[in-house]
Amino acid sequence: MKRRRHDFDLAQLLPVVVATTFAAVLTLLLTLGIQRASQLQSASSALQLASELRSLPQYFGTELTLVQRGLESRTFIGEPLADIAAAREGFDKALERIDTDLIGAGLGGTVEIQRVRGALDAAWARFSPLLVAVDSHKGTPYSDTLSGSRLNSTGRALKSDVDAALAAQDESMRDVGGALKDLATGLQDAVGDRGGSLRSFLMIGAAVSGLLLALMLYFALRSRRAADDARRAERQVADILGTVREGLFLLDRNLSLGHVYSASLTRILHTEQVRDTSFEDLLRPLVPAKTLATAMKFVNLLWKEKVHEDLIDTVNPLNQIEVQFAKSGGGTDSRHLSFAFKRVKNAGGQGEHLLGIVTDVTDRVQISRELEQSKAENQAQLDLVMQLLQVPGAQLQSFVRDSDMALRKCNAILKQPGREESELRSKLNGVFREVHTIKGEAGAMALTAIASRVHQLEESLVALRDRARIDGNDFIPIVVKLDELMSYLGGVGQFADRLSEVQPKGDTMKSVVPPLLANQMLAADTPSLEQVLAKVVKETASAHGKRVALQCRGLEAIPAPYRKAARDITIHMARNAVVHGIETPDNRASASKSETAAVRVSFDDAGAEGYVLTVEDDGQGLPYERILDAALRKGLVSPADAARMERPAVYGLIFRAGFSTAETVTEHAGRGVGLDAVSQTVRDLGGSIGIATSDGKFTRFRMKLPQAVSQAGAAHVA
Amino acid sequence: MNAARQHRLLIVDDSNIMRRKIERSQDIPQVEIVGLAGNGLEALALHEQTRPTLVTMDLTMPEMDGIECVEQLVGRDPDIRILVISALADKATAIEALEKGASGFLCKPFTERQVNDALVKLIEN
Repeated sequence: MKRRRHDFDLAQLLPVVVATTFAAVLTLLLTLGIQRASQLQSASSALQLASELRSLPQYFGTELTLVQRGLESRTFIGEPLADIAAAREGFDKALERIDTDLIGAGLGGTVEIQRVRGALDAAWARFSPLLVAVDSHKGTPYSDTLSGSRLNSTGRALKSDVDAALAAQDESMRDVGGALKDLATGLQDAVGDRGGSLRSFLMIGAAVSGLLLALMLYFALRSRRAADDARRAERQVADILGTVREGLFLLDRNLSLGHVYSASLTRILHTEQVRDTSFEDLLRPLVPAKTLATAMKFVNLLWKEKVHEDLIDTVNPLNQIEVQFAKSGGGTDSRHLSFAFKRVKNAGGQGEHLLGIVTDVTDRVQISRELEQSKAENQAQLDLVMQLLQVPGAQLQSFVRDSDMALRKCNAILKQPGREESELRSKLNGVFREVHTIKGEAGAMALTAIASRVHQLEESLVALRDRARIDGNDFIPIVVKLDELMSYLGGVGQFADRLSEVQPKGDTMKSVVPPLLANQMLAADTPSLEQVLAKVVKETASAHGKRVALQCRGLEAIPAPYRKAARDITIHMARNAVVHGIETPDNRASASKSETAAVRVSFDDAGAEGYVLTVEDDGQGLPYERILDAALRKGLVSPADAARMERPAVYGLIFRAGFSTAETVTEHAGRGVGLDAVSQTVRDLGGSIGIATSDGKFTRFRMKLPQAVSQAGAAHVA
Repeated sequence: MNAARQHRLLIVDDSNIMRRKIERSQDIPQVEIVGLAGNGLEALALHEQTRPTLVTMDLTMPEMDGIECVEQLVGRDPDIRILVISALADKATAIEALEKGASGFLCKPFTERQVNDALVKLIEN
């Protein structure tokens, strides 16, 4: 990442660096060129001056001669004298200009030129005063007499100076001319030299410009290619982000989403509000507040250098979340999403972004759930078969028959007329009692697979019963579930039939079931009530950590019409006694009671008064206050009634539908249906129930049954 | 990785079986096991004596739990690398330990290979 960025910086900087360098070189070259040109100009000017001055010595000779002749012929000599003065001053000025030009041409310090220039000055210095002497003469040189014009003293002095100048002229002018020639030669060299170097600079400048142009063209091409690459890469990234099925996004340090994310993200999250949104805002509508807080903490962990990202995958709270999306047509759609996060680091190891990946894993989750469910179903079926094999065939058939009957009764109850709330509740309680009875039977035969299935139906009934208001439509799912249960139990019935086909053949049983089971099956077709109760008490006690001894008396003498009812009643009451009545061994010990409790079930023939079925335990007695509290809580009695109620009336509450003091609902007890079912059965049989209890000592239920079975009871027994 | 450099490992878990399992699982040549602690207080005491560079840390322990122990160990030695090894009952607790300065999390039950892979990652991080 860093390498790429580095390249990018260089590619951007290189043309600038090159252009700047070249521009500096060009500026330098131009400056030098201008300097050379200016020097060249000065040198040329000096050369021109020097060349012009070379004609002056001859000019001075001519003018001096004119003055000499004029003096001889006594003619006017003012003009040549003025010309000499002007030429001499011109020479002086020209020398000054040459000096200026020499400095301008950079030759001020050149030894050769200085020498030549010195020679010129020396020669001129020798000759110039002679000229000054001549041209400084003022006044008329002649005196006019009658004998003609004669040189006066001025004229004589002038003539002498002119003669002297002319005498020195040849030599001096040769010196001056020679020095000028040397100077001109030196200057010519300098001009050639300056011109040459100017040409060189210009040529180098032209070359540098050409090179710069070429480089600029190269950079322009390269940058265009880079731009093309960038555009292509951008298109490819867009293609990837538009095609990929996962929701991809980047989070910055503030945990905000950037502008780059895959198209699937909005589809998976069902929102268009993604760009520049904080991750927290994105999640908020999807997960509970607690998960949101944990998720934000988790994501922040990824910024911690010390935390190894591979080693925190398992604590990702967003690894699999179930979210609800509102459907366009109303209702919600439940989806499973999986979020994963990866650090995006540069070459320096600095985390710049987090890459977020969100996937819709609903299908995967459903498949795995279905797998688990089918595994559980297989296991349940296996359990069921194993449990069925342990129940004697005839007993199993009897259970299936009874259950079928109970379910038919449920259907009959549900078909009864009546749509008032109270009527519906009464129907619900009726169905409840039947279902609860089936569960109890199944539990008594240790058919836990069936019992737990019936338990589920019971749960639905409880949920319905606990609702503030119910109407007829609420029963539809119950009817469906009853049908399901019926067909399930039908399957159990078929199995029981097949089992019974095998069972009577005696020895052949051993070939299909383990010998132990076969023996058990053959031992007793239908176990006695005492055996069933023993099993119920034993299992319930062990499930609740209690120690109980069951004592039975006279149960074998129960007349046939009462056997089924007595069975239902005693199973319920014995189980209730163990769960609610009996204390734990610790509590019994601290109350100085035997750790093993007693549950007694007896059946007596009271002659003309009928029969008496008694279920008694030596447990803690009926908890008067808890019963009253529970009844108040459930609205079975009003606070005003509660204050007035006598103890027996309070105890009577436990037979009311929907009453239960158990804190938790288990398969064993605590539905608050057992005793009301018992009470209903006893009433159906035309009997009555009496309660005797003493705190910390015992509870006894005595059910009086008439000698002759009543009509209603007959239906129950059938 | 300099083979001569020894990483000093302290194993902290209240279960004897777990300590043994981690001890037996660990077979990285550069790692030397310098101590086994049964709770946070023991771990702090052993840290004084053995100066470990690596720690495997259970979360639920008597006396002093893993989270407090992580905090204290990191307070003493900011460079110490701690791998939390715990049953994942509550992700928030595991995240808290990581916030306090642990570097990674391994879920119980684990395989020998998982322990080694996690420790190698911690060493190389």
